[in-house]
Amino acid sequence: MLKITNLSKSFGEKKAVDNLSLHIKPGEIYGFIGHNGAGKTTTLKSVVGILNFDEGEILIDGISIKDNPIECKKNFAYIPDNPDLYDFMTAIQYLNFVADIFNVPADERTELIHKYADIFEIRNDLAQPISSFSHGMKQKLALISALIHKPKLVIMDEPFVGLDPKASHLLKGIMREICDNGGAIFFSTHVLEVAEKLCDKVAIIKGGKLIRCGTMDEVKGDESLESAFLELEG
Amino acid sequence: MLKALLKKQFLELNTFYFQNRKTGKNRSKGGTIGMIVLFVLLFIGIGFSFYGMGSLLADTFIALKLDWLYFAIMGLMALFLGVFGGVFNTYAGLYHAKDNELLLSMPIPPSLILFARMVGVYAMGLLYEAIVFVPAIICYWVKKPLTVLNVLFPFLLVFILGFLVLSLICVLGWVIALISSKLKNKSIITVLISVIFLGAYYFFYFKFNTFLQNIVGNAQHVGDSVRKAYPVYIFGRAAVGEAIPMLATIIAIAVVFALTYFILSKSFIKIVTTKQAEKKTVYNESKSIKTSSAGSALLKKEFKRFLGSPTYMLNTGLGIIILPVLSVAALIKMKDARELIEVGTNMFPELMGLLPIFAVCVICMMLSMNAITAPSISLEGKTIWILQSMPIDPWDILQAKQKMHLYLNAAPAVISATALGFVVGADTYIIVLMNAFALSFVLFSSSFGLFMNLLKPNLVWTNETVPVKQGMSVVVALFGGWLISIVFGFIAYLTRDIIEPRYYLIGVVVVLALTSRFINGWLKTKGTKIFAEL
Repeated sequence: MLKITNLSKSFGEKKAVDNLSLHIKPGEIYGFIGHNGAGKTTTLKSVVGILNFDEGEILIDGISIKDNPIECKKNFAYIPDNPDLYDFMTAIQYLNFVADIFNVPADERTELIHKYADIFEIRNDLAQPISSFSHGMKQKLALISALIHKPKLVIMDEPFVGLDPKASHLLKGIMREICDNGGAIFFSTHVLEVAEKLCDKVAIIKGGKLIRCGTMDEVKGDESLESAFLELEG
Repeated sequence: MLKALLKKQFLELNTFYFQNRKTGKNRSKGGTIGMIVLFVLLFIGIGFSFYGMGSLLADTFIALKLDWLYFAIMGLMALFLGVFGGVFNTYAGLYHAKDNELLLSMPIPPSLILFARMVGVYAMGLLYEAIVFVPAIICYWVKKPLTVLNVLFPFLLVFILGFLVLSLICVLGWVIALISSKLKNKSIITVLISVIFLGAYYFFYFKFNTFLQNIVGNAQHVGDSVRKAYPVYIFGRAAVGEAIPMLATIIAIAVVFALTYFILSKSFIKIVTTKQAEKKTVYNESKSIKTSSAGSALLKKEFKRFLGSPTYMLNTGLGIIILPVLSVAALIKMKDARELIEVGTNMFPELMGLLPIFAVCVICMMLSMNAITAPSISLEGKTIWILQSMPIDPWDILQAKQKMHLYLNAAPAVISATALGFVVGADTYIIVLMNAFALSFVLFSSSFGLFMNLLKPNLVWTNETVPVKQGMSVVVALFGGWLISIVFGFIAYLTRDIIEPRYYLIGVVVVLALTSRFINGWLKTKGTKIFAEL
């Protein structure tokens, strides 16, 4: 589903991502962990084509993000760490906008918008301007907008930040559902307990370099993910 | 405690003037001095114009022994400017300050917080009021022999009048906030009010001299009328140096202020701590979910942004309303306009044939003020990830921005070119060419604005006035448009004996169309790459 090969990206002298390779298969929830500034967001932004990278290749469902970005983007959804949305729109206007861009038919978008709006309990707020939303509500709206076009791959940067415990729980369920239906999830997180319980595979990045990746057992062994992570981080 | 609050209040004012709002850093010493000099010069400049006005009134009123009327009129003007200058920020300044929660969590009586805030409002109001009243006093001192009372009383009245200004500001600010909280479509109403205000401003500006001359010409009659408005009469007499009216004025203003402070301090804590219940729009499923193509979704998004932001509309779209209004006004006043043109062409007969070109150049200058595309990329700000991560060709995004510019400017261009064509007496063929000129200029400025914004984008702003008002792309698009219009007019003048106006107009249309095509080619290739990598 997502194949990253020898990805490198520098900002001036600083190498933010250094020769990183990852392969995420359909049905997998792949966690991406590392301390602040390790290169997680740079990697995710490169994957979704909003940051140009220097070297390497990124294929989504076999299509190169560099060579054919538009076709590639039809297959995934991206949720950034801080969901800055269009404050001048109402929630439903924003969802309509996203659905229009992804060409989602009317009946399908109605069904999906209502399904997820009910799950996240914001159906009654859909007519409100986004400017009146709290961080958590914006996060929920960003999640709905990502899900209404049924992406094969969902890329999320710290998706649990700002969500209340109930919404976090529901999101975990949705993530599992997507993967059970043949999709894949690639997300970054600082919450190691969540990663440990939720992910099928995990990758640890440090100073732009991938220092460990694989199934949860391969990465943590007999320890907890937290202990393994702290040990690897030194 | 009060001292600490006042110190904070003045630090806030200080920050407003002496901190770079773009970077959040203090201005350099040079920058601070420059800012002070600028303000002093501004104060002196505006003060001089009020001095001139005061001088005109003082000569007449002093001669007629109506000195009190002079101060009454200048006092009213000072009151008006003071209230008007401060009223729009008062409600936010008093009640919606960012440090409300912080201060209210401290052991400070709410009335003291209000008092400190009111000192800030007083200072702002005083500044505006003094710009009128201080020059008026100086003018009076110059024209009248000085006595202790006629020096001391007007001087004191500057500060006393400030309290009346403060009281009125507080009351009016409260009313404005109340009305605005009930309004729907605030952005459009803000723009409409601004346009009406601008119209009223220019109307009064042009009529002001007549108004002043009427007052001077009918001083006695005006005096009799104003005398009936007793508080104004008493204020005028106090300013001249009469003790009892001075005492009455002080007491009256003190009562008004005390009453205002009492009412506000009683309601302050309630207003600050009660969140207004916002009317929730009910979600209507059947009306809310609509489909459209990706292209039209992008265009709708651009329109929503434009219509949802008074700053964007006022700074880049005012000409959309003003241009047709002025053009139709020129049509209505065609006789006067033609007389004016005749005077000009009698003096410079060689300009006669160039009038259609000059007219359309003026239209283009006004059209370049509608630089809608120039901040449009910067305005994406932190939300740019949405478009960048979507499966859309960046060229479609740029085209949506360009289309909005064209749709909004095409009609004003056509209306004004046609109207001014009639006014300058052009034939149908020339009017058609004038229209083509104006429309090709609209096309050019839409491309040029985008081109500039791609070269000079600013996506890291916290307030949209930064890209809209201070953005380099907007400045270059606006002044660049002016320069190009002037250059077209100038070349027309230089080549008047070589090229007939109709051929010149055709030539300009071709040049503008080709330049636009060239810029669009750049936008489609390099521009889209830049956008994708922003």
